[in-house]
Amino acid sequence: MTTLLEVQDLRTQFTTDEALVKAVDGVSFTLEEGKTLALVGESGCGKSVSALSVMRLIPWPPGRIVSGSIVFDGVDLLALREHEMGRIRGKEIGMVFQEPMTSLNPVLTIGRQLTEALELHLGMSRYDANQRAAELLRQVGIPDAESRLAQYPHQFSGGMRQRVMIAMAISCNPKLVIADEPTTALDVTIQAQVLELMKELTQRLGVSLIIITHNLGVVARYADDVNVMYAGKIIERGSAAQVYANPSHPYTLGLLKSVPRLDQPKTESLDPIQGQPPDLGNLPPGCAFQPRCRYAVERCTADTPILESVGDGHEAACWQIAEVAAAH
Amino acid sequence: MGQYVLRRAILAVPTIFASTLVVFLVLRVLPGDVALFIALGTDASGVADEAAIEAIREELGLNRPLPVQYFVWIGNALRGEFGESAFTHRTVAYEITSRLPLTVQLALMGQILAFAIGIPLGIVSAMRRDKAVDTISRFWSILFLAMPQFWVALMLLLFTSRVFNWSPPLGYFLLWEHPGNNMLQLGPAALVLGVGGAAIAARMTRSSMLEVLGEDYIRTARAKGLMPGVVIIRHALRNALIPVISLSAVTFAFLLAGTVILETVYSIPGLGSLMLTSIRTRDYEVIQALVLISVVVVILLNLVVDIVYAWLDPRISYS
Repeated sequence: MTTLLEVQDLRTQFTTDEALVKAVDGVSFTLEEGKTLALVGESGCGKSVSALSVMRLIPWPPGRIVSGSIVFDGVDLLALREHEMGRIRGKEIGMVFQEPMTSLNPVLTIGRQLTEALELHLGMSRYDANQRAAELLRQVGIPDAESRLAQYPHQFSGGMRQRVMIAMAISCNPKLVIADEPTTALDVTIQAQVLELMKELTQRLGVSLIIITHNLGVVARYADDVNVMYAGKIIERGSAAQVYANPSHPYTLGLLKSVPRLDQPKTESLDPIQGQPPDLGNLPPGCAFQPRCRYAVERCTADTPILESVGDGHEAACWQIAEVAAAH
Repeated sequence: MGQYVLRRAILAVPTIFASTLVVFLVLRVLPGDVALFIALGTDASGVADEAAIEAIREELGLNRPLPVQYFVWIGNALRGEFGESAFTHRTVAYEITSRLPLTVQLALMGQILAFAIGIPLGIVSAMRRDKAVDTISRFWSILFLAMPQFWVALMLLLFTSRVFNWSPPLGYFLLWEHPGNNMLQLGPAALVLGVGGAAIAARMTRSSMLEVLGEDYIRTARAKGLMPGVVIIRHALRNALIPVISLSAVTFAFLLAGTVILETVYSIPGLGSLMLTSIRTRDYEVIQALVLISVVVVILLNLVVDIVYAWLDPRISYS
């Protein structure tokens, strides 16, 4: 198994008038070829910023990658010049964004938005690119592909647009697809279709996948590995099975308990995590989750926990791992 | 689309009629009497004889009731007859057509300059937000918005004559009669018009571009690996120009108004100076025809802009 992506101690910060926001604060993870990795967490925990950092699409100002390394397929992306990065984006790494309604250009045809990357990265002629674009639309399950190419985004439904986004992401045979909350803006029935499509395509084409989501159901069903993020840090990681069977960080445990389950008696009430996600510009000392944590002890307010092994490849960053394990 | 244009054309009819009524009434309410001006002569040396004035009124039809005057004028206008100037006794049609090319040329040159300077400046400004280029461009935009055009025109005249000992040649030629001379004459006026328009266009393009550059689809375009130039030209520009184009009908109307002043400053015998002269002398027939033309031009312009708008933005459909 070869490593496709290795992120080491990534730090991405945003300078605002009030504070320095450490959106991603020392994140490390690796992705093996052909695997699916899920980045999980609440809004504002740094999962999208991690993905945009890999693409080097952090808007500057105000954002900046301050340190760390991102090695993709043997190349250090942070050392590349902007035009060299342009040959990675869209070609080696495809991206699917959260908002299908606004992520497509309203004044260009679907065909043009598909063909431009093909012409740029694969050197296709306009005619060949059009043929390939129609083929891509068929692959993502859009009927009547040839005539759809001449249409504009507003003539597509949300689910169809997200299919177009997926077609765009895989168009140049990338090694990696990053999907940033790909189904959040879609109807529940469409969500499943889009996820199935992505899973099926990436498996068939041998593409590695990073799914960013706050939906634990998505993780359970589609991911090999899971990184749980909180306040810009990874606080638990492991295989999906490990994290589900044996959540070792109080935050992960809290997330799992906040999900309603059909196999529990109806009388059982949900147990949500109390409080609000922290202000990234003004984090408490010690563990960032400690103010909301029911297992917190004195030490949690002073020392920041680091990831420690709790099993084969399963790690969690918590001083109270034993207590959490005993509690469930 | 054809149906849309037709519908708009039909809707324009009441607008044009309303404007004729307004201009007719406003002129009649204004103090000053064309018959008196004529009786006194252009140098006011004549004698204001009550009987003579009454005779002139009789001749011009000004002693008839207002509704009658209005309907006579409208009736003639519908048949394409706009009467004659009370002073020069040349037909209004002749007065206008002989002056029209200069003004049309001036306005077009001004508008082209406005876009040619303003839009690129706005784009660069947005791309280099808060950098030196942006600050300088915004400073000049505000400056040219704040300075009245007649003053800029006078300063330009002064500047070229003092520093280069040059002023625009006198005696006017149409573009196709004597292109070099024509450009030298209209150039400075068009420049003043254009720079003012460019200031507006630059500011609108900048703010519109900044908004578009923050859109999700620009991030998508960058995620495809497109070069920054391609992202700007192919993905951002067309979206950013939609509001600029749709407002250009309004700014062009201001530009037309600006020609009145600039033609006076540069003594260009165009429609603007004709309008000013005829207002001063209450030459009703001429003013009425000129206002009518302006109204029709502005209405047509709005129609053209709507059509361009639909071409720029496929979400708009006029069916």
